[in-house]
Amino acid sequence: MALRDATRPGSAPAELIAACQRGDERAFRRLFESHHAAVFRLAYRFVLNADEAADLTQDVFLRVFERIDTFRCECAFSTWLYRLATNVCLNHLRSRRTSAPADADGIEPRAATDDPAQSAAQGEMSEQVTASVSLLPDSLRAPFVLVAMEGLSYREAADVLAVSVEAARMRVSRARQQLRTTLKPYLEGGRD
Amino acid sequence: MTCLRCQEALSALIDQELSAVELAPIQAHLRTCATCAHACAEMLCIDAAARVVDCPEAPPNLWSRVERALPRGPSERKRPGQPSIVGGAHTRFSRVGRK
Repeated sequence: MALRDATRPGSAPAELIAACQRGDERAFRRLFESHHAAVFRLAYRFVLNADEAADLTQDVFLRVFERIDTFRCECAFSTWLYRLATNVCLNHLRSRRTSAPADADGIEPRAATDDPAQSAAQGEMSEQVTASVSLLPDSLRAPFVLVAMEGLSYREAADVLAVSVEAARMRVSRARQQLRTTLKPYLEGGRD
Repeated sequence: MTCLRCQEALSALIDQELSAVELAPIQAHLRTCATCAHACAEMLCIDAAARVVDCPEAPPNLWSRVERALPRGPSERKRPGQPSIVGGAHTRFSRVGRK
């Protein structure tokens, strides 16, 4: 996996993986230390809540520790980890929606303000984008988070999501088109 | 190059996933089509805003939380067919090499 961002989880050395597979807790800690920040950030991008992101990160690493002996180096460790983390986050979002179906993940994009100049401010635009991303269907949200926010290539995102490269490409494109529609009032406000 | 084809390719353009062969006609179209150039600018604006979304730091006690959930000996290791450790209090790993 060609990593484009040093803050993203990189490939773990084979010796470290092997030590984890032998049940060496110190190796697990090293694996955790080198990857937990990226997993937390990914989880936060999905759930937009630091406490939940921490819980999910804990869940992800317990699953890593439980399943590390099934990792066979057939893909990069980072791909395996991202796949696991993405699945944990999406499952969490599904259960959250089931328990609170009217809340749409607890976040709603705010209506455009009467002040277009203020709406165009980068900070507010980011808030609106965040809220709008949270309303994307999971099938579009995950590819958008992985590619547009985490910087994965289509190939990497396809591997994480277990879909074809073309499917990853199409889903990111559809996510952007949907976001553009949702954010139209802010995008137009920013040009005034 | 039609506007429809161009706008279908904008996302891949932003992600730098177009080949040189694919890229040339898109760029040429964008130079002459205000509508598509506008769509591209809006997508770039959304991406820029998405990338600067504030993300807090992971809490410093996260490892200790994970560690507490780790198993304390081989007897606690998960065997095939056992329920997942996740969400439970017991886990599977021994402390190999731990002093």
